[in-house]
Parts: sequence; structure tokens; C-alpha cells
Amino acid sequence: MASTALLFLNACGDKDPVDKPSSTSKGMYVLNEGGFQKGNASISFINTDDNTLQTKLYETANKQPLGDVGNALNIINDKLYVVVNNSGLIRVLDKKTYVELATIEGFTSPRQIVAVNEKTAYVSDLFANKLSVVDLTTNKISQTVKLHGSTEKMVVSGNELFVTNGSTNYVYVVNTESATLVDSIDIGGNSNEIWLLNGKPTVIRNANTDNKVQGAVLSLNAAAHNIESSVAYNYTGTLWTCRSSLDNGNIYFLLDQKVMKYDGKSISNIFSVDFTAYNMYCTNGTIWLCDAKDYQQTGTVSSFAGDGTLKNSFNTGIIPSVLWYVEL
Amino acid sequence: MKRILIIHILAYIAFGTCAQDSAVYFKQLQQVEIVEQRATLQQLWPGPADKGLSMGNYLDQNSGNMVKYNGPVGVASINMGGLGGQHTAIVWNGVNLQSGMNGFCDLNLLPMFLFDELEMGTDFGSQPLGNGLGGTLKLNTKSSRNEIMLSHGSFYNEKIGVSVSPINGKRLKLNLKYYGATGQNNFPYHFYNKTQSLNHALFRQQHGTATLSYKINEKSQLRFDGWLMQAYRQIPPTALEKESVATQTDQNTRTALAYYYNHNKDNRENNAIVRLNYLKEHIGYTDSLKKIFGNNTAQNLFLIYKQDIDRLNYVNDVTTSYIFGASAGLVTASTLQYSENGLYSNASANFRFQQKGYAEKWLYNVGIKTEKFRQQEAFSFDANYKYRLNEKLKWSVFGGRAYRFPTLNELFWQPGGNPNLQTETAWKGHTQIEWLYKYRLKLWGQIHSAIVNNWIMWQPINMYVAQAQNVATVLARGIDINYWYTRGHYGRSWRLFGNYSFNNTQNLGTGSKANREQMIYVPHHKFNQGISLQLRRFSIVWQHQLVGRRYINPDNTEYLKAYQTDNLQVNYQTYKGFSLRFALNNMFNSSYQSTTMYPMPLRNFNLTINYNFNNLIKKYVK
Repeated sequence: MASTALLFLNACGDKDPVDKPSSTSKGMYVLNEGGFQKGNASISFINTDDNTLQTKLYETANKQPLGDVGNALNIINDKLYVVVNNSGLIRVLDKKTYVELATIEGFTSPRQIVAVNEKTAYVSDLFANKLSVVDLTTNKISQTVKLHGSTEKMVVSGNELFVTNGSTNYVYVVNTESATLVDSIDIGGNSNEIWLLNGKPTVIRNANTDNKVQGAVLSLNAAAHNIESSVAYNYTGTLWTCRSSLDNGNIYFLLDQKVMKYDGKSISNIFSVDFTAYNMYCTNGTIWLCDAKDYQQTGTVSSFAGDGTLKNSFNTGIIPSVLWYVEL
Repeated sequence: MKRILIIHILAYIAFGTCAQDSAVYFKQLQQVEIVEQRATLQQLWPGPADKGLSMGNYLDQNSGNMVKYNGPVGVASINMGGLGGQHTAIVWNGVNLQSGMNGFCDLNLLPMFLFDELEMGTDFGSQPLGNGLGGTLKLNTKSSRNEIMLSHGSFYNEKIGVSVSPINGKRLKLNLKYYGATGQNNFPYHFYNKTQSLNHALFRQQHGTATLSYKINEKSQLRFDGWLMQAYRQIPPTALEKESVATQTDQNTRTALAYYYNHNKDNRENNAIVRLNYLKEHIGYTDSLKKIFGNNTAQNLFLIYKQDIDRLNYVNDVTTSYIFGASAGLVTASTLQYSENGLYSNASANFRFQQKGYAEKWLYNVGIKTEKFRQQEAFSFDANYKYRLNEKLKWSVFGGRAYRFPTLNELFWQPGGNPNLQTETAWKGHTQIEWLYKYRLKLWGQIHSAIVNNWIMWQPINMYVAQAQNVATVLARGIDINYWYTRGHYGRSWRLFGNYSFNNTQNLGTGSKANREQMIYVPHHKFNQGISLQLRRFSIVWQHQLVGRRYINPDNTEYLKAYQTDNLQVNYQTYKGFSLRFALNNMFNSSYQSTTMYPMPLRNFNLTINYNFNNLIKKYVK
């Protein structure tokens, strides 16, 4: 009945959602975060070939809910890894059928998963004061790295992992071979987002007017472990997290209703929308934005051309938050 | 379908009636309460079998109003007339129990053992700090019992209640009550295809109450009511949460000192009440995992005055009443979570004019109230009319305007509190019919409608922060039906009883969110059906409940399924004041959730023993 209801209620424009998982060619995974303690996280898929939407794919394939607060999604070794934050676990899924292959448990409040090689991945955590090292062959935590505060996104550069932290002023550097913390880089404020741009770990520092922290995009020297360059952006208020995406050598990020672009040298506002975007994803010049609406009702994912022209829109689920483009 | 069939078969073959408390009560001194005669009122008298229940469970089983349990040990609230928990005023012996901080009164912290009578009014009430937009629930202590109650139930739930009246003189009476309960609540539940167990759900509570009344002379008396409460509960994880280490503590001090004056002369009656109410509430919250801590205290002090002047006109048998009232109060909070911790004053004045005909063949009253809290002023007015068409049929109608001031949390909580909130206002009306046929059948039905403007909601403004905003206009319309049918005579009788409630509570929306969706957690349908059978000292009661689908998000795309539960009680009562109650709850192992992700217990039981030793005491008193 729920699926029948959704069939009617999720309609947006002319795009009819389909519940059954099917083989797809190209499209966008959408991880709908769901409300905290509401247990309504879900996975949708937007087929960009025919502009159709499939919703609640995990529930349909596995006859159980995905979990509480879907926080991150990654493709590792051709499998879909879904980090379910408040359920304290990571689900490993077949990327076409969404059938669960394994569950990795033992986390406190997992946030992100990043593979450093075929056998090993690192998982950041909001409350555990440590990173977990996951053996991808056994799907178990093999060891941990003590690290104070709320660890967030990570990038790999050589044999080092650069880890952002939402509660301290540092980006931490972890040696992935010895699984040890080797250094910390003071970036002057907390951060969540980090990308490897032109071979350099590039972090977005969250603006915080109360604490007089200027928002900025900082390029780090991966070898020297220091700040190589920084470009400030103007923002009045406090950014809890500055959502961003990497595409064609540019970092795109969100300042409420503004879509910003960092090309490695300067920051510009490329267009604005009439809603506060919750997250974004850019691929081949198309900019996808998540509208979480009031964080309670079904949210929308929309695609825009680089000049801000709306292309398509889909009602995907509660708080659409993570997008991942794939060619299957 | 099969279950419904079984229920109906049992309904026809079962025998019994609701247990009645036949034990002798010691009456408190009779004070004259000034209560304008509301057009719409439902009274409930809990029997000995109900003494082990919480207010939430009792009202859930005995009224059509929706009781929302925020998990098995979380805050439980009642929605009257399809409105929210904060719109129900809960008044204990003249004291408004709604929290000054969050506006709720937790029904899980109101043990039925402490009360003798419940009055459910669907009018606005007249308590300070706004009105009960949905309705008013009055909890009264009418008698001084000498009683012990012991209860043992599933999941290590133990309860004890003791009520003694050590002083029972003609001028001075004292009643003391103690109630304690503890429960592990580590019950198994079904969630999709798995059976899981609830953990971290310990719930302990203790209450002590004292009622002292002193008759000064034939015209006046003093009454003191005091209530100390403390509770500790672990907040369990939701069905999809990994773990929880959160705990909550509640501590309350509630006192009321009242002076009653009553003077009759010829055709005139003059009543006055002066009441001093003091409340202190403390809520502590600790979650070391998610690093959330709260340590919040609020206090309020109210001086309330009420005067009633009645005059009976012998010529036309019409009694005219003039009821005046005024209150002044102070409200303060002490918490690090608030943007300001101030001392706020409150003052109100009200007047009601009432006339009633011979033997209350007809009655009407009109009232007006004005009140100020912080910088906000508000007013309400209402009118009641009640007409008895004949001995069996009564009709009444009510209409008016009321308001609710924002709570301290809504104003000052950081983050999200909004000092610029406007007062909620509501227009409401209902009409009601009561029909009694040969003392065998009673029907009570009401149609109601209310529109609430400036409805305050906590709206997420980003993933981490929700802000209190005046976001909605809500239209609530519905029907309530209650009935009972009984046959037999003393010692052998049966009784069919039930209620049905339909509520259509729509958010009329604003701007681009315009919609007419059902408000979250308000079911369209709730239905209770029971049959009881009495055979001498035994009685058997079967109760079936259906709660309809409840939407859990504003666009109504997600919902909790409707559920049905069945409870069976077997009661036995002796001449010597003992009564025994065995209850089998959720007999058919129905899997259901009252709040999303908090499955409720499957089949469970409790056994309650009551011993009323009033007669024993009376022997010694003599």
C-alpha cells in the first residue's frame, strides 16, 4: 500500500516513480537522509536516460527499512556502501539490485567511508573520537585511529588520509599504511568538506560570524602539511556545513541559495535559486541541487544547466542529501 | 476479519459489568467550588481496577481522544478535539499542571491512584496562562481513602500505592497518598521480519500527596493540597537506532492553599474562593553520547480569586449568577538553554453571567476573560446553552474564542526559541446531545469545529536547528460518540460500552506550502468497544481498540499503519474491601507504533490487588 501511495504522491512533473529495481544505464543515486529518529532514510535512482525515478529501492529489495539518517554513499569495489549514521552501521549493497550483501557494524555515529585501497576503507565518526579502519574483505572493523572531535569528509593523497573535523580547527593527517595520526594542520576554523583538486587537498572552511571565522577555500600542501593558498568568500552568519561538489577541475559549493564556483584561483557566484539547497552534485557541467524543503515532507532533486536554467525535477524522498552519478 | 468475528461472538456470550468501587469513602469536607456549569462535560470515575493505570492508559481506553505515547516510557499527551497536546489544559484540584516550559503535562506521570474523578470538558476552561483550546481535563480528589494497591506486571513493572487518612475529624481532615512505580520495560517487539528487544527503558517514579482541610466555621474552610513528584527514565533507542544512553529526570512540587467561603440566606448565595498556587518543575536531560545536556527549572506562583453571587427568583424559578474572577501570577525559569531567564508577570480578569431555569430545564451563560503575559494581551469569550427537552434528552451548544500564550521554551530555547511569537487564537464551537433510554442505554454525541490561527510549530530551518514559528492555520472538525447499554440486575448483568472519534484536522497552510493535509499524529478514526459481564463478585471486561492511520510528515506521504489491540480483564471483589484484577493486554500480539520507530509492547499482563480498609478504620474511630 505504501508503494501504491507513493506511486501517486511522488509524482512531480511528468516523472512517474517506479518502485521495482531494474537494470539501468546512466543515472543518479539519491540517498534521502530521512528525519532524525524517524527511520525513513531511503535510496532513489534517477535514470538520466529516460528521466524516470525509482524510489525506496532498498526497502523494496530487502523488505526492511534502510535505517535512521542516511549520511553518505560511496561506490567501492563495484559495490554500493551506504553509511547510516544514527543506526551506527554501513550497508553494503549490490549496486544494481540493491540487495544487501553485508552489514558493517560497530560504529558509534559513522559519517563517511573512503577506500584507501581495495582491501581497506576508513570511516569517520561524529561522536566516537576515532576513525575506524574497515577490512573490506571481511566487512569488519580491523583497527581504529584515535582522533578527537567530529570527523567528517576525507580524501586520500598518496599514503595519507586528510580528515576534516567539524568540532576543531584542524585538518588531520593519517598515515594509511600504519593507521596512525601523523600531523594536524590548523586551518583556523572547523570544516566538513574536502576534495583533491589538482592533486592538492582542498578544504572549505565554514564561515562563522559569531566566532569571527572568515569562510574560505584553502589549498593544502600535501607533503608539507600546511596551507598553501586561501581564497575567502563572503558569508554573514554561521555555516554548519558548506556542501560542495567537484567537477572538471572546479569545486562548486553552496551558500544558502547561491551556487558558488572555485576554479583554483577565485570564487564566483554562478547562479542563485529560490530555495535553500541542502546539498549538490555536479557532473559534466550539470548542477544537481537537493531541496530538503521543510526537512519533513518529500524533498526534491533538480538538475540545472551551468547558467542556472532548470532542466528537470524529481520528488525523491525525505531530505534528499547525497547524490552520486553512475554509468552502470 | 477473523479477530472482529471472535470479538463479536465473545461480545454476545460474555457476561459482566464494569467494576464499581463499592467500598465506603471518607468524604473530604464539602467545599463549594465555583464552577460555572459548562454545557459540555464528561465525567469519569475510575474504579479500583483502574488504580494501577497511568492517566494515559486510562484515557486511551476510556475516551475517544487520541493519547500519543512518545515511546513506551516517553512523554504521553492527549489530543482533545483533534488539536495538540499543548492545547489540553490539565487541572488538578484547581492547579494547572501544564508545564510552563514546554506546555505539556506528561500523562505517564499522572498515576490514576491519586485521583477519584475525572472531568473532560471540551470548552476552554479558565486556568491562567491561556485556555485549553482543545479542552480541559480536570483531576479531582473528592474523598479521603484508606487503601493499599500493589501491582505486578510484565517487564518487571511493579507499583505500590498507599492512601491513609490519619485525621478524620469533623473540622480537620488529612489524607496522605504515596505512589511508587518502577519498570524495566525491556520487552520484545516485532519490527518488519525481526524480533528485537527494547533496552535502556527503565522508568521509575514516586509521588507523595497531602490533602488537608480545616473547617473554620459553617461558612468557611481552608484546604491545602500538596504534591511532590520525582521520576527517572532512560530514553530507549528507536527501532533503527544503534543505542541510546540518554536519561531524563523530572521533579515537581505543586501546592495549592485555598480559602472557601459560602453563605446562604433566603434566595441568595454567596461563594468565594481565594487560592494560592505554587509550582516548581525541574527537567534534567543527559545524553553523553550525543553530548546533549539540559538542566531546566521553572517556577510559577499564582493568586486566584473567584466570587459567585447567586440569586433565585421565586416567581419564575430562575437562578441568576454573577461570577467574577481575577488572578495575578509570576513565572520564572532558570536554564542555560534560554536566551533570557527573566521574571514574567501575568494577570487576568474574567466575568461570567449565568441563568438557569427550574431544575435546570435550561441554562445559559456567557463569559469573557482578558489576560496579560509578558508584553502580550489576549482575550477570550464564550457562550454555553443547555436545554433538557425531556427527562431523557438533553441538548447543548457551545461557542467562543480563546487563546494560548507561547511557552517559555517556544520563546527562549536556544537554539530555535523565538521571542517574537504571537499568541495562538482559536474560534471553536460544538453541539452535543445526551440521550438516556430507560436507564439501559445512554448515547452521548458531539460535533465540533475549531479554527486555530498562529499555530506554533517547531519548524526545521536547517538540518540541525528547528525554530518555533507561527506557521499554520489549522481547521479541526470532528465527531465524538460515547455510549453504553446495560441489562441485568445486581449480581448478574452485562454491559456494552464504547466510543468513536472522527477528527479531520487540516493544516490550511501558508504561501507555497498551501495544502489541506491532515496534521501529523492525528488519526481520522479512533474506536473503543468493550463488553463487560458481572456475575456476583466476578467481572470480565473485554476491550477492543482501533486507532486509524496517523500521518507522520506534513505532506502525508508517510504514515503509521492503523492498529487494533484487545485487552481482557478479570476482576474479583470481596465484601471485606479486597479487589483483585488480572489484565491481559494486547492479547493478539498486535505490532503497532504510537510514535514512529517506537514499537509498543506485545502481549503482556499485570496483576493488581487493592485493599480498601475504610471500614476497618471506621470501627476503630467508633
